Amino acid sequence: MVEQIGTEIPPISLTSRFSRLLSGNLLLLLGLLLITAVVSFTVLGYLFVDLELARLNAAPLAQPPSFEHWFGTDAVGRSILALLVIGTPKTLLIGLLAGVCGITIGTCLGFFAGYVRGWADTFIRIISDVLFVIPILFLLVFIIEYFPVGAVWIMGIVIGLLSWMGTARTVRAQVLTLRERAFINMARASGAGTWRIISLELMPNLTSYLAASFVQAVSGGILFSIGLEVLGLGPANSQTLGWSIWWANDYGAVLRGFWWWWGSPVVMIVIIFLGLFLTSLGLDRVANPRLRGTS
Amino acid sequence: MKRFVELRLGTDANRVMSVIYLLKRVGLFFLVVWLGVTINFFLPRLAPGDPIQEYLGQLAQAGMFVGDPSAGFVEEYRAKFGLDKPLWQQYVNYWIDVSQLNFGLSVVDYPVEVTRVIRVALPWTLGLLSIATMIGFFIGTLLGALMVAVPGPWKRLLDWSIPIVMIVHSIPYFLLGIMLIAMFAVTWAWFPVGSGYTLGESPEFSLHGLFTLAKHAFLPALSLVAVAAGGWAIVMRSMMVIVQGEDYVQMSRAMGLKSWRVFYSYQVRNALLPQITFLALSLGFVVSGSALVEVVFSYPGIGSTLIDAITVKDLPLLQLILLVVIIVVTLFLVLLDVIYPLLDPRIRHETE
Repeated sequence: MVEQIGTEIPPISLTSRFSRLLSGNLLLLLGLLLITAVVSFTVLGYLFVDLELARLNAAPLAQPPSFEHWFGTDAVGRSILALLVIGTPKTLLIGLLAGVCGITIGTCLGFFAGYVRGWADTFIRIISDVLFVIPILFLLVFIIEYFPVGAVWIMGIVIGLLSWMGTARTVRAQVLTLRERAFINMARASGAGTWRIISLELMPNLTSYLAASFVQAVSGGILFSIGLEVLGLGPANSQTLGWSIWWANDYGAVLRGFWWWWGSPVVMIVIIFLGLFLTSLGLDRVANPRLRGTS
Repeated sequence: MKRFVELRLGTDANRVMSVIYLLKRVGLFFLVVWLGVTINFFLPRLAPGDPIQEYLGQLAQAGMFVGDPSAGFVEEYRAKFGLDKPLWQQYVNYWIDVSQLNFGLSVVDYPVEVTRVIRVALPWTLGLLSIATMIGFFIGTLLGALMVAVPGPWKRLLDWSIPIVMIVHSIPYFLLGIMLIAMFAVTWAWFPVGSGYTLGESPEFSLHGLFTLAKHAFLPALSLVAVAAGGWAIVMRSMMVIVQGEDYVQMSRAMGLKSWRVFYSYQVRNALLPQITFLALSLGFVVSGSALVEVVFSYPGIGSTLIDAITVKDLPLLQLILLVVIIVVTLFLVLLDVIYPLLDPRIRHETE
């Protein structure tokens, strides 16, 4: 054992590291605040809102917001508030699953392509090009037909399986530039194995970048799913936010002036997207210090 | 230009390298198109649900008499579209048909040729989407560049625009479309609610005709432009910030060049490179990216046709649209790879 000489550096606690990350990063702070607000809305909703009101004809038809029904009711007699409470976590779940799957696959393939190169690189490039040029959004419909009605998590995973291409591409590029740096050569010369170099030398350099692209992947997944649902193509009746908009659109809520019906889910979606977007911009700033100078 | 080409392809070795690269890229192009078309062929066919049944179901729903489904005429229909043969034979037949440019008849619009269906829908989409994409690119890029470079009081104004740009950019464009309809078409009725032209009329080439076209296209275009411009502006702004710190910008300033010269020749032109990449990509996605906007605004373009083809499983129509999309997007990918090194000499194709 080698004795440590001099004063020991106290380990930085996780909370203080976190607060250091947030200080001076207004975008990240705002983004996380918005997401926290959305999550607490659903948690409080599940605790205090009568979710039976999300059934057909459980409430009066097409009432504007009132004291009794804060966000009004729709033309088939459901309380919009109850729909939002049920729909928001489902939509978030789709995004989360899509983000986790997409980033995991993209990172692994990107590392593999960038580090091994040669045939692996070409092979991954071809697969990602193919998935990139097919309008996957639409073919998703046929894949989802195999699965039980209302299976929200399937949607998330399938979207993730089909949207790793961007991550793989950028991770590959990053690995290509990093692998020739002195510290990697140093590690290699000291006898570190491939796995060790990837996990201990390359990965830490990419963490903040990956965090930013994870957040982007989550919002991309949500955008995908909402797009499909608004078209009426997603897993039928899974009660997500996208489906509430589809219902509203199908019943002509826009033309009939039921602004609370289509407006409430739209506002909720916009808040989610804004939160995710600000968070990813904030993380980007952590990953890319040159952006920090302004704003 | 000639000197430039000589510079690029100076030695024989270089020339051989470029030719090999180009051949490889063309080979990859065909491989990607073939794989994409193959997936598009099998995925809808392997999914549960029968196109003919689905079509008949839709007719029945619309209140039409479709006869007794057991009366063997479903089989007759199936034979007509070649759906009674084993899958591999359908696949071979499909490629034979494609090589003869025979794309078959639409199931829904029977007996209209699918090429005709597309020829009617395509101009609407190309007109709306390509114009909206270009306008969005131009406005956004300009805004992003000015956000960084404009001095003095104007900068404060532009700084205020940043949060607005961010909020607008985080609204999905089809939801923005719904909001725009609610405001400008329903509440104030300044614009028509949907469709591409006055219902029941076909576009005429006159001042009035153009005006009607523009009036119908304005809201869908606005929803696309507003959201896209925000994205362009944000990316352009961060690129400008990065470029601003480069030595050559400091140098050009120190040399005493005029500020607009530094702005345009040294900052914008360098920051523009990644933007051009994404512009090419988004032009490639014009056809498939239009679906949501077209459905929300009931615009008669290729996107809403695609959605119709998917919901009723109109396989011939679906296949042709996807074939076009795949070829166009792949072509843009190749073009990008070939052209990009000409724009940015720092990037050279390595021969591996």
